[in-house]
This record gives sequence, C-alpha cells and structure tokens, in this order.
Amino acid sequence: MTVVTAPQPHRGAVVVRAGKFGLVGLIGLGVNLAAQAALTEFAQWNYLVAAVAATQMSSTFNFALAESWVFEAVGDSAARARRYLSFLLMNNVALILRAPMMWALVDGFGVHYSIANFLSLALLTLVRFGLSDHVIWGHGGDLPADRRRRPGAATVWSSPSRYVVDEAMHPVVRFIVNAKTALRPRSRRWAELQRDQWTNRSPPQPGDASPDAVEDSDPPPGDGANRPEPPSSDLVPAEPEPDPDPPDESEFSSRAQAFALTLVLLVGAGLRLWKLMAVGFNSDEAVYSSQAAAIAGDRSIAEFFPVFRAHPFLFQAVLSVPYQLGTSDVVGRLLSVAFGLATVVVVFATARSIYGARVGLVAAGLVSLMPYHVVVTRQVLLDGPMTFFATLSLYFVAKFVLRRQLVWLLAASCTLAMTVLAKETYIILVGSVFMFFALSPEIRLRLREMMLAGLVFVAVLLPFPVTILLAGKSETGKNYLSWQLFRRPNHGLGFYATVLPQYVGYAVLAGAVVAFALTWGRRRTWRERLLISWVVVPVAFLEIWPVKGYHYLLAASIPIAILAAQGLCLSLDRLANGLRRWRTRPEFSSGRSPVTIVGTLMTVVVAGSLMIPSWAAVQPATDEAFLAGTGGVPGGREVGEWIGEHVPEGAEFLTVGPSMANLVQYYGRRKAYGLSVSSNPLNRNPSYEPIANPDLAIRTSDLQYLIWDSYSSMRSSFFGDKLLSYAERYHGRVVYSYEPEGRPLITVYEVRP
Amino acid sequence: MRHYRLAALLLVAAVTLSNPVRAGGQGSVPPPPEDALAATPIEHFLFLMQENHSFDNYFGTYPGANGPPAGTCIPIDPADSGSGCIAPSHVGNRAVTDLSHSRKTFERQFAGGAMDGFVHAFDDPQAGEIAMAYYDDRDLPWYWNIADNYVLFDRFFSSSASGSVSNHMYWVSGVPGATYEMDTVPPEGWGDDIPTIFDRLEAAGISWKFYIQNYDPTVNIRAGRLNERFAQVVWVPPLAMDRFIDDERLASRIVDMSEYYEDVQDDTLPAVSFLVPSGASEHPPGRVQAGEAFVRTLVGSLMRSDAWWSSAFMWSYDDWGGFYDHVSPPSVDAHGYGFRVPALLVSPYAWAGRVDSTTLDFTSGLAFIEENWGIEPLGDRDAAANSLMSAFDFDSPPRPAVLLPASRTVTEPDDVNTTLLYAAYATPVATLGALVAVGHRRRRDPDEVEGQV
Repeated sequence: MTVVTAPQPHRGAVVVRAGKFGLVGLIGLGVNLAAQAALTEFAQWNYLVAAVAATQMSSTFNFALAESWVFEAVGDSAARARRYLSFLLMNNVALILRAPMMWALVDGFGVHYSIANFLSLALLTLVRFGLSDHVIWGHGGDLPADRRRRPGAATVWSSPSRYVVDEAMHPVVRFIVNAKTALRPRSRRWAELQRDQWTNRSPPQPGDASPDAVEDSDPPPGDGANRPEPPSSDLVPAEPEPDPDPPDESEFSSRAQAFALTLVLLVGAGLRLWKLMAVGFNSDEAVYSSQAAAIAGDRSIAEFFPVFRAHPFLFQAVLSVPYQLGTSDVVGRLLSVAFGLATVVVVFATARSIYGARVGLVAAGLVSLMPYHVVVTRQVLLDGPMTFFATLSLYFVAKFVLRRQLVWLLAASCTLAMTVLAKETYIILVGSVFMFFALSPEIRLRLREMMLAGLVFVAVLLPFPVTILLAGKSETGKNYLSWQLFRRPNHGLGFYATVLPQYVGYAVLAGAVVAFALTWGRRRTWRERLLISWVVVPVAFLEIWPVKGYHYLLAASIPIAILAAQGLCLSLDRLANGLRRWRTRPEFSSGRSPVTIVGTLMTVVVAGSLMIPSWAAVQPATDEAFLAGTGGVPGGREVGEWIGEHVPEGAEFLTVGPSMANLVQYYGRRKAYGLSVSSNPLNRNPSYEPIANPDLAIRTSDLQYLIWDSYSSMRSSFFGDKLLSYAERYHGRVVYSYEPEGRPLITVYEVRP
Repeated sequence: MRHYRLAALLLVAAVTLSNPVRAGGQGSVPPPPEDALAATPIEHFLFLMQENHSFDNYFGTYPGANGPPAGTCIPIDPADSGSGCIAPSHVGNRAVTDLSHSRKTFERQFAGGAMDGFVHAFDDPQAGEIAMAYYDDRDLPWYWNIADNYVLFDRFFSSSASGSVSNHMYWVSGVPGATYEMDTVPPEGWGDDIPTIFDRLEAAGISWKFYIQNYDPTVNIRAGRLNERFAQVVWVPPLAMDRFIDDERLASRIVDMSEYYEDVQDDTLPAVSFLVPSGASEHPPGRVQAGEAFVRTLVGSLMRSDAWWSSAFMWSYDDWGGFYDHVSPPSVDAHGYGFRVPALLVSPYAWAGRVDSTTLDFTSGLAFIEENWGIEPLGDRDAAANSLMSAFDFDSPPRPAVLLPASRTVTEPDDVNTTLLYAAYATPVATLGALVAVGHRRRRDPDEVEGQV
C-alpha cells in the first residue's frame, strides 16, 4: 500500500492535544448522557446496565475522535484494536474510580457533591490524558508523523489539481475524498492496481496529477521481495487463469474503512437495541434462555425445561456464562445483538476479501440494515449465532481460496462444525462446500486435505453427541429426529417466497439479481460460485423440508447481501461510466460529480428501502397479528410475571398452545400444558407434555387455571374455543386480563370442579 | 379472520360475564357480623369432616408417625392360638367394603384393651382381611404430600367409640347427643337444649357457616328418616335442631358448598367454617381418591385466595370405619375415646412437615375456636381437651401457599455436567483460535499473494 508524503503540519504541543482531548471528553459526555437516556427511556433497560453500556458507547466515540483528531494515529488494525481496548479499559477503570473519589471528597473533605463531581471528572480527565498521550498512543506523540506511521497503514490519494489531501485534513474530509476515489470505475482501478502491484507504487488518480505527486512516504520492508510470485501451492491449476473481477484493495484507507464500518455498526446497533425489551420473550426465546439458565444451574427453571432438547447448545452454553450471575432477558438479547453485529463485521471482512473494501462496506451496510437480520438478531434465537458461524465459514473458505493455505480450510471446517453446533439444521452447509468445490475445478483439493478438514469437522462436532450420550439422553435425540422427519408441514411451499422478500429487502434482492446478470456475460468467477453455493443449498433444502420457520433462512441472506453489494457497486460503475459522458456539459463541468450524485441517491434509496421496514419491524407489537419468529409475544411476559407473583407455587395451567405454555413456565415458573399438544408422540414435539384428559385434570384439581390468548387462538381457533368451553364449564373466573388496547389479548381464568 | 376474532372476543366476553368476579355479598343472606378479634393470626378456621378410616389405615406406614410395630399380626380368633393371624397389608386392588363400625364392633375389636379383635370382630374372614388392609402414598399421594409439608396428627382420636352420629355431635357440640347403646338421631331431632359452637359464635358476633356438598335445604329432621338423603341430617347436626331450621338467620348460615368457593374467591369467608362432603366422603366402598380430590379442591381454593394468609384448614374422619389401629384409645368418659382417626392441618402458620403427637379429639377443634375467639366452653369435653395450638408456629412468618401435586414422583431436572459441557464447547473455540493464529502467522510469509486466483 502507499502513503502520501504531503508536507506534515505542525502537530502542536501537549497543551493543544490536551485541549482537544478535553473537548472530545465534553462531547463524549453528551454522547454518554444521550445514550443512557435512550437506553433507559426507549430501550427500557435498567439504568445501571444502561450506564455501563453508555460508557462503552461514549468511550468508543471518544476513541474514534482521539484516534483520528487528537493523536492522529495510524497503524494497522491490530495496533488500533490494542489502543481501543486499552482506552476502553482505562475509561472503565476511571468510571469505577470515580465513586471512591467522590466519596472521599464529599464525606472526607466536606466538598459539595457537584464540585466533587467536577473535580473527580477533571482529575480523571488529566490522568486519562496522560495515560492516553504517553501509553496508549505512545511516547508523547510529538514525533513526526512519518515516524509514527506504520508501513502500509493508510492509503490517501493526493491530487493537487483537485483535492489537497494530507494528514492535516479532518478525517471526515479525507473520508469523502477517499469515497470519491472509490467511486471511480472498477475496471480502471483494477488496471491501475495491476500495474501498481508490479511497480509497488501508488496508482495515480485518474485525470489528476502525475504519478510524481504521489510517493511512498515509508516503503514497506522487503520491498523487492514483496512482488508477487507465481503461486507455489499445488492447490491451484497448472495454468492460472486471469480473474475477470479481482478484489480492489485500493479504495479506502483503513481509517476510512474503520470509520465507515463503525458508522454501519452504530446504525445496526441502534436498530437492534431500539426498545429491545419493550416486549418479552416469545416461546423459542424462552426455551433457549431456559436451557442456558439450566446449564448455569438455575434449578427453579430447570424443572420446567429439559436441557436436552432438539438442538445442540453452543449458543446456550455461551449464554449460560453471564447467566451464572442470574437469569436475565436483557443479557440474552444483548448477546444475540452482539452476534448480529459481529456478523456484520464478518460480512465486511468476507466481502472485502473477495470484492474489495467498497463492496465490503456496502454489504456490511445491507446486513446491518436488513430487516430480516435486524429482527432475528434482536431475539434469543439460535439463528443469529448460527448465521455468524456460517458467515465465518464463508469467510474462511474465501480466505483459503485466496491464500491457498490449508489452515484456512481447516478454520472453515471448524466454523462449519460450530455452525452445526449452533443449530444442527445447517449441517446442510457441508453440501454448499461440496457444491462450491465441485463447481470450481480450478481449486484443487488433495485427498489428505479433505480428510484433515473432515477430521476437524468431526472433532469439533463431537461435543454434541458426547454430552448427550454421557447425560443418557440419546433417546431424546432420536425422538426429536423422528419427530422432525415425520411432523406435518406447518407452511406451504410458497411460505419463504411470499414472506421473506420484504424482510430481506427488495433492494437487496434486486442487487443480487443485478450482480448475477452483470456477471452473466463474462465467465463467472469462484466468488459468485461460492456465494451462490451458500444460498442455493440451504434454500433448496429448507424449501423441501416440510417444517418452515421465518428465521430458518437467515444464513442464506448473508451471501445474497454480499452479491447484492457487488451488484449495486457494479451497476453504479456502469451508471457512472454512462454519466461521465455528460461531464462535458457546463452544469457538470464544475461542482459535484454526477457519480457522487448518483451514488448518494442510490445509497439513500437502498438504505431507505431497508431502514424503513427495519424501523417498522423493531417497533413493539401490541396485538396478535404478527408473524411467529419476528419478535416477542405481547403480554406473555406480563402475564407470566403476574402469575409468578400472584399464583401459588405448584399451580398448573392449561393454555391454548405450547407457546404460551412455555412463556408461563419461563416467566411464571409454573407448570403449563398446551391443549393443542397431541397425545400421539409422532405428532408432537418430544419436549411437550400432552394433557390426556383436560376435563379429568380440572375435576381432580390437577389444573387450576386456564389461559386463553388471542395469538394462539388466531392460529388454532378450534383449541381456542375448546379452552373457553372449559372455562365456561368449570366456573371460570377471570383473575387477570392483559388488555393493552382495551381488548383482551390474554385472559387468565381460575377454574374449579 | 375478522369473523373469527370477533367471535372469539364475544366468547371471551360471554364467559367473563357469565362468571363475573363477585364484588362481595351473599345475595339474600345477611352479611356476616363484624368478627371479634382473634387471639392468633388465624382469622379463619375451617374444619372438614370426612368419614370412616383409622389412622393406621391411612398413615400407619408414614415415616415418623406412630404406625403398627413391626411383626404386627392380629389373630383370627384371639381365643384360639392355632387360628392364625393376619398382618397389615397394602390394600392393593382389593374391593374395600363398608365394615361395621358400631359401638358393638368397637368393643369386640378393643377387646377390653387387648386390641386383638380387629379380625375376630367380623364374622366374614374377608372383612377381617380388609380391616387389616392399609393405604399408603401410592393411593393417597396428596395426603402424604400434605403430611410432608404441614401437620399430621398421629394421636387424634375419634371423640366417641361409636359411629357417625355421636362423633358428629361431639364435633359441633362437645356432647354425644345419642345414647350409649343407640348411635342414632332421635326421630324428633336433638331439640333446642343442646348448645352448639354455632350458638356460641352467633352470640359472640363471630361469623360462621356450615358448608355442605350437594346441600338439599329440604332435607332436615322433619323430612323423616326414610328420606333417601337423611344422611345429611347425621352429617349436619344443626339440621336436627329446631332453631337452625326455623330461625331464618341461623338457617341462612347452612349453605351449599358452592358458596364456599365464592366466599373464598370474594374474600368473604367467615371466621369459623364447618364443612361436610356428600359423595366424596371416602366412606367405603367409595373411592378414597375421590375424597382426596375433593379435599384437594377445597384446600387449593383456599390457597389461591387472599384468605390463605390468615386461615387454618383441618380435616379429619368421623370414625375409624372398622379398620385396624394399633393404639389403644384413652378412656375419658363412658363414650370415648374411640380409635385414632387421621387428621391433618394446613395453614401458613402450621409447622412444616411435623407429626404432632398431642392427644386430641374432635372437641380439640372446639377448644381451638374457644381459645382463639375467647368463647366459653360448651361442656366438660371441650373444656378438658387439648387445643390445636401445638400445630402452629406463630413465631415464624406465614408461609406462602404451595399447591402440592397428587403425585409422589418428583421430576428431577436434567443432570448437566457443566464442566464437561463447557469443556466440550470450549474446544471448538480454542481450535478456531489456534487455526486463526497459525493462519495469521503464515500471512507474513513474503511469498504469499492475495487475490490472485
């Protein structure tokens, strides 16, 4: 990579940096207050949890400004990560230290609390600055910039004729300049990159200054040795073919990428955290959270939910770690959100590695805003973590193809097994891997490598059967398998086709189609084959599989988004080429480039087409008219908590279906049966306990309460009506009714013989 | 869809309106008087009388209770040492008949204190076997669960060494009413000379009710002994007393069991409640499980109400029903005691899982009422009887209600080996970390090229 050596501005004295640091601190304070208010008021978090989260957010914000403005640091991502973690640690320690300082000042020295507050803040700001200046950003920071840079850390294209770009520029300005550069036609950039790779020089800005204006400020070590050699690995064909669409690595500086990705993550986090706890769990969330709680040793919940159910428990095992401190809904959902945001990062890394940074950022943006991904990763479901691992395996396969190192194939194998450990259905991704390699004869695999990869896969997968076997629950697994194989279809063949497009996003689907079409004429590369394999196999399998669920295809939406990002970038390039012809007209000869205008418009349209439905999807549901799997069950938590507080321990409930029964058991810690659960073992989830004779159970006082809910009754009117007939027959008396909009959504009846 | 939702909402509304939450009140029944302050936190005392089982018959094998000693075997003919004997055995699938439990049978079984006539008392050898049969937690799981969590009395005697009539009389009045020889209700009833606890409560302004399962208000002493539901008069002695028939105010306190559930739900439970079953009395040959379910429903309703926090619910059995019991009853007067009967007490203030061996009888319930509400004793028996106070722990905070299951099987949660599980699932993470680390180290290999496939 190439770095500009523009004249370095004066870096300023320590006082200037301290002033900047203080100013950043003040802005960060505002961010902290706003974040805490948003999390407490809108997301309805506990104020203490919100305070901790707000500190992390404001610290992240402060770090971004300190990194780019106060200390103007550069370096590779690992160094940045180290600085970020150190900064975060320092701020959290400072947060903890403020309490005893305040106490000492107020109670010990009799200082007024507001003055004590100011003093503690000021003192800790000074300490933080000292640590930041001397430790985190290193050695005073007054060294010349060229000595603080690391080779290949940033790419800034200098263009004296149109843009004056140097390190003194504000990072936002630099980002815009870089973005303009990135919008150049891909083919030209690739040509430049190809040339540059062999000359190890920066490609010049098209139509700008001569290459002499750009020079390497700090050539990478081993300059001559870095020239690409023909691959020595035996994983490639004897005659490598030119890639018609190789990745472009020159688009953005790493700082610009980090800035844009942070922005994408912040928006994604905002969507995923918005009113996160406004509605309680749904049935599946209750089950997975309960499994985690049971693993963590919460026996009050373990008696209602067997740990060994249909799925492996990688996610539940992870969730059980924070649950050691106590079962908490918000922690469960935050973990899901974390997996969701981590997936966005992996999407960026994957798309960047195969198509370049621009596509990476667009793909990350699409996934970050995609209603499907937003909705699922706000819930305690297995599909979010499963998608994370599936995307990670996609990333490692791509890395293997790019690097031709066995270790990445093994890493892909490992993450593929972890995908299965998150949700066993996605063992079908093995089919995707086979499909990809079968369709890519230019990527040869040795038998030894395949066997090693298979070995890793099996070894990583082993915990699931072993833990089940050691717990003596192997029969449970068989029961689930037979049930899954023979259960009746819950949706028709058109379910995914009719439901999912709006959640994946029409713009995303259109982009993917464009990518497909634009690569039609040319020979499609391994990149498209890889992505398509990751889509086709799960979609085909789950379409045929009789049981369909809203969230089942989440993992397949990721490669679609990457394809869409590529399609959008390609179409923008094509459009830009066409529009550039109009630049001779006076209105375009100066001012904004038409490419910028079109790019901005396209960004607004695509982002808006995802953002608006995502925003609508994260608003709390207040009635029963929502699709299963798209969020919590309105009133389920409230009813369960009422039961926990007002109904004697040991009471038993009959609900219309098993979903509400799970919520009663989770929130109310009371046994509940679903009336619709079949007494035929072949027709029911083995976890569900049927009630053979509800009449008898009420007559013998085994059942004391009935719960009617509009959500289950809408889906199964027969059982809804049947339950109400029991309420009428057995002196049903309403003891609680959840009526958010004046009509009952959930009604609890007390019954007696 | 709209039609369905509308229909469902209408159905919900219909059910709701047809079973409204009562705001209180008893219809035409006058409101209960303001109660005098109780001496203990027990503001509601409820006493249910079931029928015809001895203590050993129900709880003889209950751990920690005074059951038959090992090796017990009752001779078929005490006078003939070679006649053999019958040991207590689980009732199993045997048909349980209605054994004689008259005064005469008591005397033959008591055998002057030898307690060896339980088989010989019956002419039918099969009846002797049934007399020696017992139930346990396989048959009465809920009762046993109650004993585990509340108070089981193992020295609770029937007040009269006779059958239902005199024991029910002792239960409400502290006197046998019936003569020694004839354990029957006189054709003209008990008259108005025998004071009952209800008279005392009425005079003291303390609320009370007598709840009767399947109550038929037309059946009282004046309906005649030939009435097919005359047993109601035996179970409810006030129905054989003129003042409780003629005085509308007193008569209004004798109500159907359905009012019990309403009173419990509406928090209008009186201070003192007496309850009797009809079809679920456990009287052989009736199924004991039906009686258990009935008692469970009564107790469960109380537990689900606010009244739970200030209540004590007790139930016992009016006589031993002809079944074996190994404890020789103390002689307190010409009428009693009779053999031991099962008795249990449930209350938020009851000791948890205690077997109480205080000597008690039905008049102990009267003694508790009198002590708790400051009422004069009805007679010598209740004045001398031990109260139920030993069953309560008023120093501890009240316990929340627990609806116990009708099963002795405890479902244990899955036994998860957390260490193994964490180790198993940490392995993939460690493997991945190692692979990525190796991969990144190799990245520095200057021969590598990325993006050139």
